[in-house]
Amino acid sequence: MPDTPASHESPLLEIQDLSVSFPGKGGTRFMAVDGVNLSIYPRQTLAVVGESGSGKSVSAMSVLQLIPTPPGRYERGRILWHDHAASHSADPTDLLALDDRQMRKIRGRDIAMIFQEPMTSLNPVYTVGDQILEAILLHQPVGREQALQIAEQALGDVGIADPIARLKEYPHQLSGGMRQRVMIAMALACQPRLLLADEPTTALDVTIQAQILELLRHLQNTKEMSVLLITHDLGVVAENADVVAVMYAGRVLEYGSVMDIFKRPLHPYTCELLKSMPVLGRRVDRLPTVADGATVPDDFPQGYDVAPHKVEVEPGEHYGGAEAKLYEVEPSHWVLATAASAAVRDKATPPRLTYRREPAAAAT
Amino acid sequence: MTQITTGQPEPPSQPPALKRAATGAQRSMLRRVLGELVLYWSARIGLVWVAVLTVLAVFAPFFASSHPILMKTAEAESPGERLTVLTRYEPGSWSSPLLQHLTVADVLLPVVLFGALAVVFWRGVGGGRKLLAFMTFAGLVVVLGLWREQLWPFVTGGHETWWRDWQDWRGDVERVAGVPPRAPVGPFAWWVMLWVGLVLMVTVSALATAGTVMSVAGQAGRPQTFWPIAGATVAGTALWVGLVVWLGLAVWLAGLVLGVAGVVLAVVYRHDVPGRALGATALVSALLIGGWLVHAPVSPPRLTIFEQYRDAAEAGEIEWALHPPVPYSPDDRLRDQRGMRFQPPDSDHILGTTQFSADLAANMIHGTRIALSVGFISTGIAIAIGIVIGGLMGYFSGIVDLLGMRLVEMFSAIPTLFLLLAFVAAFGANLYIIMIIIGLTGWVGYAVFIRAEFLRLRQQEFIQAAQALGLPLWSIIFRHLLPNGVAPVLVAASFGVASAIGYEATLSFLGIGLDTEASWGLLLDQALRGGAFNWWIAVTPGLAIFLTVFAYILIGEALRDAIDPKTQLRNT
Repeated sequence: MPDTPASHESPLLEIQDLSVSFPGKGGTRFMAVDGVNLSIYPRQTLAVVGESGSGKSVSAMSVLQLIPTPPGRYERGRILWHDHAASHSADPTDLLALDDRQMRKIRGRDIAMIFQEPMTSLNPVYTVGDQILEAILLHQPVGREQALQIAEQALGDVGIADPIARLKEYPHQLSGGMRQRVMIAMALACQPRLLLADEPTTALDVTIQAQILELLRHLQNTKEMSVLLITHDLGVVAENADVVAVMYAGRVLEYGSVMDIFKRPLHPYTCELLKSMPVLGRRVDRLPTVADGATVPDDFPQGYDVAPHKVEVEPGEHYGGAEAKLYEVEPSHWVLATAASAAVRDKATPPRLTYRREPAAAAT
Repeated sequence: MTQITTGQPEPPSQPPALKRAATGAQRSMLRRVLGELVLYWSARIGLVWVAVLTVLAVFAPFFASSHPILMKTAEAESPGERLTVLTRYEPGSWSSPLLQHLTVADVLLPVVLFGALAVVFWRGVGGGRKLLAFMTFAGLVVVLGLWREQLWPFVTGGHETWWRDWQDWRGDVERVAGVPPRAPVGPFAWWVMLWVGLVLMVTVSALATAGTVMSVAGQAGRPQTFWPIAGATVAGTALWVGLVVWLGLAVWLAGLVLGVAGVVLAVVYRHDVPGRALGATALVSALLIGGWLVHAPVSPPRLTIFEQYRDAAEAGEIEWALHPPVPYSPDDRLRDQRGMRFQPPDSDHILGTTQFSADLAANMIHGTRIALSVGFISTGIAIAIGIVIGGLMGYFSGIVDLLGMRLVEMFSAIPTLFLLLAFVAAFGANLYIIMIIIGLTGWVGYAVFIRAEFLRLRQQEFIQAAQALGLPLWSIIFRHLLPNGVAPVLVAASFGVASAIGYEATLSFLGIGLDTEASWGLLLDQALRGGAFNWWIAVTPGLAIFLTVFAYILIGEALRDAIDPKTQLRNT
């Protein structure tokens, strides 16, 4: 195992027991995120995988308090931001407790976000330059001339040729891949510590997708930044992630290093999910699907019970059972399970994994 | 890891001139839209018409007035002899009766226009900020103009304006109510008003001038523009001081023109504001400008005898005079001539005369003021209210939206014309009340447009992206949501301006509109008076109203296309 849980290193961001609800049918409230625990260490890429509606985006947007309230509501939990350089104190900041003004100082400057749809995530009536400059002038104490230089530099960093000419162009004059590069440049112009990438490549074709991901990895290495990568593409996860969190129905089912998750999945949902991936060269008529009642692996560690996968989750019901928590069932490998015996009942721990793959491995 | 730049189709390299231009200020959205707008022929026609009307309205006395622009009276035949007709003028002297008879509005309108032009041609500032600077400036000018017109008489002693009106009104009410008469109360301590006004104006102008100087100095990062701007500021101020000595207020306002724009610019360039000693300089100059105000020499006589110039010319008392193109004032009822009612056009009165024997052309020219101001001001009020309420409804939705829509429903139920009729009947015809009522009832349409647009745009990712970048609420609403959602409002506004002109014309046509000022609707009303159809009075104001409404509709249509960056004419 390459990871060594270093006690001296503290995570950059820690999501603790986060629950977010939206109004559902008949006056009930539907839990879009149900007790999620996640942590990101500096320079780490955490991939959150799951199907649509599993709560990945809501979790990420909660970090910046971008969930509109109402209709959404933060039910429980804390989002701890350990940025000692900014706060000058050892205590982490709870991002959910910040008011709007304090939050605006974090947004864009410490934590930036890029979105899925580059076609619509730039304002059509302003030039690229206007939009980047606004962000830079807002967060950095520089004049217009300097900001222009920073913007040029940022566009150059994301591999846009002739950035000076691009600054004058409107979003509709750029291609999709170019716009996503502009979005990334805008997000990175203020040197954030954490980048929330909400399916950054879903809307792009495969060639551009690879370029954008490679760019993100490159920038992460050069700028010492953490990335929360939200995706439903397991190929993207395998290529880019250090640590993977699998989500379903608003809960984290499994949490471990990318090696552990792909080589030895433990939760029935994860097992089936990985089986449903097409493999190059293997001929099948139909790909297996994540069916109801997927089986528990035979060699599931002793002492814990894991509920079989269930497609439909009733309102008010917690996926995996009301008692289910994340247990570190194997070293550095957390699974949503219930304790089989009283001895292990109190051993539920929030997932903390400092594993980062070697930069050389990342480049392959 | 190194091949980051591959894959993107590279566009042909830009010519060097373009690259240089890009390093300067970014082209603002407003400038792009305006640049785009003038490419449409329909918009050009509409804009030209509105521009002609604007020039006519702003410089109306210079186009149509009985007062000569420049006049030299005849030499006295014997020393000590006075003129018998032009008793107010010395024999053998040069004078400008036109300038002496200018009202506050006559002076303020050119000041506002020149202020607007100065703001428009001030380089290196974004369009939105220019608009903001101009709105601030124009608003201050209007407030100060009212101050000058309504409160200044207290200072000079001629307080026969609203104070006298109010006294009379209260006297009437008390007499009717049977209250025993009491000793007349003098104007409340006029010197308090004087000092409050002076302190207020000096403070504002100090801030404003300080802002100008600091913003100009703040641009010192670009040395090639600093000295021209500074020089132009000094030269312009000196020009004003030199040329417009006859109106201290105008001099002071010139400081304000530069100043208010300056405050806005100073905020924009707050990162490199250099000096504090400038503040003291500004204060001194503001005090000097305030001093001018105290000596404001313009005081148009309350009784104007228009025919005196014609009488004097006949009596040979005018040696030489330069008259405006239409040598009649709209109130000049040609008392020195008989049978001038309802005269069709001839060489002397090119558009004919009205019911009151006044020149129709002069009335048309002076009527542009009401035509333009009713449309612009009432629609401006309506749009401002509509954008704020609609924007809040659309952005916050939920309970705000619920309450806002109920408010919209309440206001949609108000019949504007009948409300106007009721108000005019109860309070008399007052142009400002008419404008405010049209504005207060007309915002509903704009609010629902803006709300619908904001509800749609709020879901768009660029708004989420703007929030994720930590942009403040005002920037999200006014910079990111509004320009994307304003297109339908601008189109609706062109119809709003048109309908506001229509309301005013309707009221005047019904005979319950304004009766003291020239207005197109009032003229139209006269077409059927006097027992005959006076075709020339029907055609001219009718055509003017039609053309103006048509011009606004043309502009609105073109604006809708120009505001959408995907339909750029320039690229096709």
